[in-house]
Amino acid sequence: MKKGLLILVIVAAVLLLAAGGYWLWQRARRPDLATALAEARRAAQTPTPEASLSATPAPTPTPGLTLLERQLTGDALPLQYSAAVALGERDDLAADERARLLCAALQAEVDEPSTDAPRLRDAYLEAHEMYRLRLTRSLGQLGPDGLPAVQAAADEADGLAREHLLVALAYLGQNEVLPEVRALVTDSDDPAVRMDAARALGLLGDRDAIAALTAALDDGHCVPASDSLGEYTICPVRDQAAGALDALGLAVTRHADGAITLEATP
Amino acid sequence: MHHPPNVALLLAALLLIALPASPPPALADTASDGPATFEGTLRYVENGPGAGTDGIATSLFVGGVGAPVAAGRLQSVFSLLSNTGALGDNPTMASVSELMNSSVPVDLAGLLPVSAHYEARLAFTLEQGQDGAFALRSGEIDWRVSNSAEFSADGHALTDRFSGSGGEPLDPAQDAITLTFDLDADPATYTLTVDVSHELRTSGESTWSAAGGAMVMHLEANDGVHIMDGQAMGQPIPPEVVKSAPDQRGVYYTHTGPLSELRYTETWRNLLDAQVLADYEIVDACRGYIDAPAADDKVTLPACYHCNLELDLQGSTVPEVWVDDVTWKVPEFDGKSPHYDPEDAQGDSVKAWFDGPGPQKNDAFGPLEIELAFDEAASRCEPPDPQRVRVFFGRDSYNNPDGSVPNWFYYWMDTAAAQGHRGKVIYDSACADYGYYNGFADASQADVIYVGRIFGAGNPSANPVTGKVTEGIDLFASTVLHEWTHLETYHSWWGAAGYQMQQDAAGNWGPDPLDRDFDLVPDRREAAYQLSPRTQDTLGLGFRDCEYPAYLQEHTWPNGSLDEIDWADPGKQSGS
Repeated sequence: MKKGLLILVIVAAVLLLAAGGYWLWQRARRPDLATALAEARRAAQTPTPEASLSATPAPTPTPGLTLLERQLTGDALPLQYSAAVALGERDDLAADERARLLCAALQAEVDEPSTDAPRLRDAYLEAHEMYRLRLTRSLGQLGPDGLPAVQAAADEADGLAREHLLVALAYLGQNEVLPEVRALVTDSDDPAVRMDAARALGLLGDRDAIAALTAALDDGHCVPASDSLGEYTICPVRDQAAGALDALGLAVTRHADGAITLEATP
Repeated sequence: MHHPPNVALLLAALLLIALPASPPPALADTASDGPATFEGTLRYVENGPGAGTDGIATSLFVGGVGAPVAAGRLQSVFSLLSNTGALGDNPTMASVSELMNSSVPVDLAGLLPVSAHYEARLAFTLEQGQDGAFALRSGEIDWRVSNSAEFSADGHALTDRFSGSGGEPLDPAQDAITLTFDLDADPATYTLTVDVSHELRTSGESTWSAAGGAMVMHLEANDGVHIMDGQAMGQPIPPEVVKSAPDQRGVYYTHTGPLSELRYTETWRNLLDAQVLADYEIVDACRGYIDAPAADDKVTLPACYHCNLELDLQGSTVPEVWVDDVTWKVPEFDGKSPHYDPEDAQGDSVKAWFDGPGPQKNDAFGPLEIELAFDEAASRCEPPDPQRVRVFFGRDSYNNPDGSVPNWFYYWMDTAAAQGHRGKVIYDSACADYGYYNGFADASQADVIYVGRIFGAGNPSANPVTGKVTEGIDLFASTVLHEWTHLETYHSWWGAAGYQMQQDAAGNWGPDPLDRDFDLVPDRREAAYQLSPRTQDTLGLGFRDCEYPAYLQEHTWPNGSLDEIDWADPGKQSGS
């Protein structure tokens, strides 16, 4: 009898434990009111768009080649110009890569000149002329590591692009190109090439260029211009030829009518 | 009965296990400062017979015709109870009424010559009790009622005209509003039950003229007290109070639905064919929201000269019933107080504006905090946090106090972008370039610089020497720095005598004798800049040597240093 009662109690205990466990499990599954309301409300509400404006822009990182290339191949001339300056100065970037970008930009500018771009501040040249000069000058800053790439580009190029690349090679000290550069001073159809060729020859101290530079003092390209300080007329090829001749030790005289003459050698 | 000790111990252990597992009340997430509460509103409207019951004609028609119809319909409740499957889960008042009314298909509203309207608005707070259900803690009811009737035939004429309105607090001892939840249901449901009443204090009069006026009964009501008099065959019937206290009018409503329907609207025809609307919202807290302008929104002054800051303010409340109870507050703007439409600045949609032109100072622009406050509901509703918007001026507009210069020039001259030269920087609308210095040509202008239409000249702009790009307020500051450098170098280079141009015999103007290359830089100073006294453009990049020091100097302008106070649109902070 005792044994039977004990079994009965144990069975009852097991059943009670099982029922309690089931109830606890159900209770755990049931959401509390706050959660249920929150979920219902969330389902009924349209999400609010996040504020999209940030007060302070993130600092601009130093641009790498990828960003500079993006600027250079964009359509905003001030940014292209800025990238061209940076590529000439950024010795931390591979010279051949910089040469590749600058040469490509020069070819693109020759193919499709930025004639619609506004002049840069206080400039007497058109924006596209200044940009080509800037690209040439930056190529000339690359140093020996950039020379092979510029040389290769010059070998492949023709027309205006080749003329600029020849001047760039002169800036890089490539004396082999000097005969062609001397010819450019008087023969190029592009005044920006003529003036830059004259300047490069003066910087290189190329005395063989004196004849070409003297001839350039009669260059007929003169433009009315204005800058912060007023209006004036400038003959840029004559001006650069005068500077080159001065660098070569030959004195020049400027006249009020814009003419520049070589002073007689004592 | 005697149990062995081991069995007794086992039973005690079972009790210890089972008791803590018994179900507790279904409490909501209660805050530490008291029981959980809900805020609610209910709008209850009846339109049609029975909505108002004052008057002789209304009593006759509604009582005489409406009551039997209603009784017949009520009988259908019994069959309804045995046929609940026809209503489905969670039947609404509308579905129940529709089923009942279909049993006696008569349209009393179209049949009876009475019209009545009753509307009650309830606002209440529910508090959770120990049993987990929420019950009325406090609240108010505002009501209004009107009814009228007009009937004439065979020498009889009956007219009723009664109306009333009032408001009173709800009494938790008499009125009941309960909210219960069944979280075990799938989906979880709630049941709202409203059973409240109030005194119906109406006023008006009613007249019954019979037999062509031979007998007239007149009923007059004042605040729910009714006095009747009249005359019969020329003999006056003395006034008699027929109702000494106002009637009680009840509002009963119940609805069960999923939790997503804590805001709910339904409409139905009641037993007397009055159209009933119930619209309620239950929220865990009453709050106000500023919907527009959005936080940190950009607000730009309109372009016209006499225009100033204008704001289209849009707000909302939860529950929505309080939306007319909110008042907007826009702070002073540049010392001016706002105007509002509507003038009291109340409601969910308000326009605020200030008299033009725009502010005197640049620092008037920027963050502005708009507030929205509850009036009557201030004690029960939480206002939104002040909303910050950012006020901008149209960069190219002219609605600044000067009016003759563009906004960018006017307001940026009031910042560090002017570099302390205010009064010596002149805007020249005829100058399509960035700016100029005219001291070389005109000594009387040796101490001022000019800024032109810089955004027409090109924005952004690149420094031809350094390649640095500037735009917006930085371009303006760089331009000021550039032109001011010309002013300084002019005085430094050429002194009191100034630049002395020479004219040759042919009338051509040539350079000062101290400037042989005519680049406006004295020959003796060119070496300091590594420039040549023989060329106008030593660098060969397309500009005269006189620009070179100015380019170098403008390069020193720290781009971005004024972003935080640039409130031009477009500009550094406008996002466009």
